[in-house]
Amino acid sequence: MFVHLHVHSQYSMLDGASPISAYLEAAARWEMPALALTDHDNVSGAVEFHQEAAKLGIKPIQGVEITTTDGTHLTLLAENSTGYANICRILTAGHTQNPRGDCRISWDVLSQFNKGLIVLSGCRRSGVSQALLRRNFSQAKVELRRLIEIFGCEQVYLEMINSHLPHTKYLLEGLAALHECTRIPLVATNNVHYLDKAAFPVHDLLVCTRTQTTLADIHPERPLNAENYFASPEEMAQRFAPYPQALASTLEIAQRCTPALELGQNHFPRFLPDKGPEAAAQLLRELTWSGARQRYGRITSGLRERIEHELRIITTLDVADYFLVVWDIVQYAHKKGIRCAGRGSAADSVVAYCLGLTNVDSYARGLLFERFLSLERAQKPDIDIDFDSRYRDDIADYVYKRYGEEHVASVCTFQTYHARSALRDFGRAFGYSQSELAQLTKNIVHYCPADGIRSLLQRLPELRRHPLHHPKYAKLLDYCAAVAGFPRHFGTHLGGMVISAKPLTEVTPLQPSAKGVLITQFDKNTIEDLGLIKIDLLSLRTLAAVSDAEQNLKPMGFSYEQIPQDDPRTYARLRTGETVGVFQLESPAQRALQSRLGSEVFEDLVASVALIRPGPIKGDMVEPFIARRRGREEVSYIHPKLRRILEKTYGVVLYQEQVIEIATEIAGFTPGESDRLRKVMTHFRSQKEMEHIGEEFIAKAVANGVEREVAEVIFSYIVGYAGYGFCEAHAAAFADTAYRTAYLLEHYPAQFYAALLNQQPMGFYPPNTLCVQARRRGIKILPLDVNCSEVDFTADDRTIRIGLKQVKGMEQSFLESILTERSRRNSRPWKTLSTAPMSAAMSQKTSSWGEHLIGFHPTAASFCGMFPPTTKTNREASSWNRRFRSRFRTSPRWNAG
Amino acid sequence: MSKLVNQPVEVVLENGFPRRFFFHKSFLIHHIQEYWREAGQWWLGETERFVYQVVTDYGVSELHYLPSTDSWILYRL
Repeated sequence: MFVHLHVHSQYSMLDGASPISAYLEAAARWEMPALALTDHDNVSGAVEFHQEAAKLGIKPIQGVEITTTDGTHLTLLAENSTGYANICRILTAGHTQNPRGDCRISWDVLSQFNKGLIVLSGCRRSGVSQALLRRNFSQAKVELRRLIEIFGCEQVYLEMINSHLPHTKYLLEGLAALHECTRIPLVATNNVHYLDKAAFPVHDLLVCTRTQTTLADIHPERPLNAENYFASPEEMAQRFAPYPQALASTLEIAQRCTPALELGQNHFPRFLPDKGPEAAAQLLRELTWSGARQRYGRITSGLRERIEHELRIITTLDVADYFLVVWDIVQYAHKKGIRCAGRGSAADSVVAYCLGLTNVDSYARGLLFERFLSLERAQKPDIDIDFDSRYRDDIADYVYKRYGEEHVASVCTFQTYHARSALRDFGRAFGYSQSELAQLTKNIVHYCPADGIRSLLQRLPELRRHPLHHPKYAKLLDYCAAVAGFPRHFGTHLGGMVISAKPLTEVTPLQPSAKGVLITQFDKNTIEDLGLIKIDLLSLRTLAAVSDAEQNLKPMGFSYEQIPQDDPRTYARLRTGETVGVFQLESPAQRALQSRLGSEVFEDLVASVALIRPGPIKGDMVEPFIARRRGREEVSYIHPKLRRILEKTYGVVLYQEQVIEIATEIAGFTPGESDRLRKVMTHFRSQKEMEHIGEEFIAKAVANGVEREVAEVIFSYIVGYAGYGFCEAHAAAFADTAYRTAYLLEHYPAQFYAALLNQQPMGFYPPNTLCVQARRRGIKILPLDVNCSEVDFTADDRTIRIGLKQVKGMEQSFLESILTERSRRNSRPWKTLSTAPMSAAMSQKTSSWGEHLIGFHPTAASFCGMFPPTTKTNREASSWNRRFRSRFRTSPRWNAG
Repeated sequence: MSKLVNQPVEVVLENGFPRRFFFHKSFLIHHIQEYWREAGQWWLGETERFVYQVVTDYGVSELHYLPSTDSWILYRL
């Protein structure tokens, strides 16, 4: 009997070529009682490993392979939850005390967090092995003694790896001699990086990607042979025949270790720390009813029942504190005048609406609360809030200050392999040129999974002559398929943050992101299982533009919140398709849709937002939807059960909620199974995964009395939809903002365009296009003028004035000096170039902003309001302008006129 | 000094390990000095090989065993 204690999965990021599930299946086949996972510098696979192992009755041993500050490797295994917490602390220290991407652990840190850990002396790159390979036995003893001093002799094992590399015999004999000297037990591992020899090329390609080499290059980190696979117990017994005690130690360690992860706990902080959960539930109830009275005025019995139903589920799942924390953040935003709006599935909740977290009345829309939160799924809630982009970081700061730096972090994402990235990475490793790589990835859609390239090549007519059809690329496609969905590197979730009652480093290692903030090593899917709840605090420039426009319009009595809901002029504007600047409805596809769909009611906008997405477009749902909405095509249903689900969308699968309902009604999926289908469908990382769930769907539908052919067609609707799809609540939340921005565009175009220009870069179009659109609405774009321009774009009813901030390279100090001087002069315009700010600009002729300010316009536009056309000074300014232009070849960013 | 041979040879095994090989004449292997495995240039179609560094009366030689064809190569003499 044998247990693998040194195993790298796909989470070793470019150093592990097989998924956790593959190892666990093999371990179960060979009746291994336990298995350890020891990825490089992270424990990102810990939750998946724990859950999958539990299903197969295998004891999961959490571990990690670390690199010390002297560059040597060490294998750490968590003996219990204390050990796991210490691994988290060690990794956090290693990541935060070193440059990003170079996690090195100091011996001091190991001494500090040494409890609950079993230490294997490590692979060939360990201090002990390196000394032995240098034939320095005494140094090896020193290295071993250091481990014993830090962790204690009971916790240290001498790791033997017989992977048939040169000098292995000598190394194993050296380790055995160390064992004789010190009585530190031996333990056998295989430093596993892939399941079997067949997966070795994939590992080699991943290493090439990591080391930025090609297969023809020699690199010390390239593996020499294919021996680091998940060997069977018999094979390990054969390899370690002279060292039976090393095999026995694997079982001994497995027995010593207990599952270190404690899942299903709730680490979310109590909103009222001194009081119990009942107090939070009571406060939430009071706030909800108070909000309900404000939102609805009269509370009907149906509404009362719905709110009570939601509150009951929230209390049962003990997530009242979560709602209160989000409410508190939104209150802070309101207090500071920061505009915000909820999005996502939270808009399914009436409680969220009453608390002011979302603006979608889910009760009136008949949205299903269970899509957001249900007792059956018992998932944690996930509320997404968009904030005015200018102040999103202020909101994050508030959260850090409110709950403490040690208790707050951003959530990571895994940038996973899809078709294009796999083709690029592996093609580069094969030594293909950039132009060949460009050819290979041409027309391969970005959402295609890495194992779906072949079917894509068969399916799309435009790929019939694609170079990937050539037999020489057959192996490449196989290797790409093998890494479908594998994480390639860490990313940062756009707005996801977690707040924990206990210090986060006891639950997850933290590491710096590219932006500098600390991120968890678990993504949004697994972080929940650890007992942490994600809050999405997102940044939305549209909200900044809206606030900006509202600020301008305040003197006219305008209020964004009071925009009338059914304004005919706004819908008429939408139907023209002239919607450049409207949130979510400005893309060419959306503009074309608006004029063809003929939006008349809010429901059309909700559908529009959901329709122009890769999922529905790929599934050919747009044309049938338009035809049916306009009454040109009859609405039909392939199965009577679909009528109720798809009636709202004219028989077209448009929302995630509908997919869930179809799975429940047609195939009898449980809520958990339906949610898994939703996740597979939404992310669509692996063709294999989709096929697997498809087989399950069809089998269950047939068992449910649905004809096989019908079930297949229904599932094809779902497959067609896969990739990206909106939930209805999310679409409704976006449609609300879309409608309001359309209203602004129709009624206050100058102020709205000025606000959009101030928030650039944003939206679909460059500033020039916005200016052209404004001109088409009869608005004059006035040039920059030192006597008139403010810092930002300003607007009145028919004009937009370019702001001083638009001068390329403009320094804040000079900007302020202009404004100060101007206010001091009581708005008396400058008339000559010799006045203070003018001469300052002239004296800055070598600085970029000085040059741009003067050279902004062919007739020195910044000063154009100052001089009559024929004066001497204007000629002087023009002369400056010409000289600068010839020297710096500057070009104006704005076309005034 | 050794020279690169890279030619098929006949090898006599004893208990699964090379004991003698023939290359123009017979070479008796006194002991196996080192053993390792190489994946080879798999992307060019090469298969795995087991490398034996052996000591004979004439010095150190390198024998390669190719499991895919069950054949031996005298790589270096």
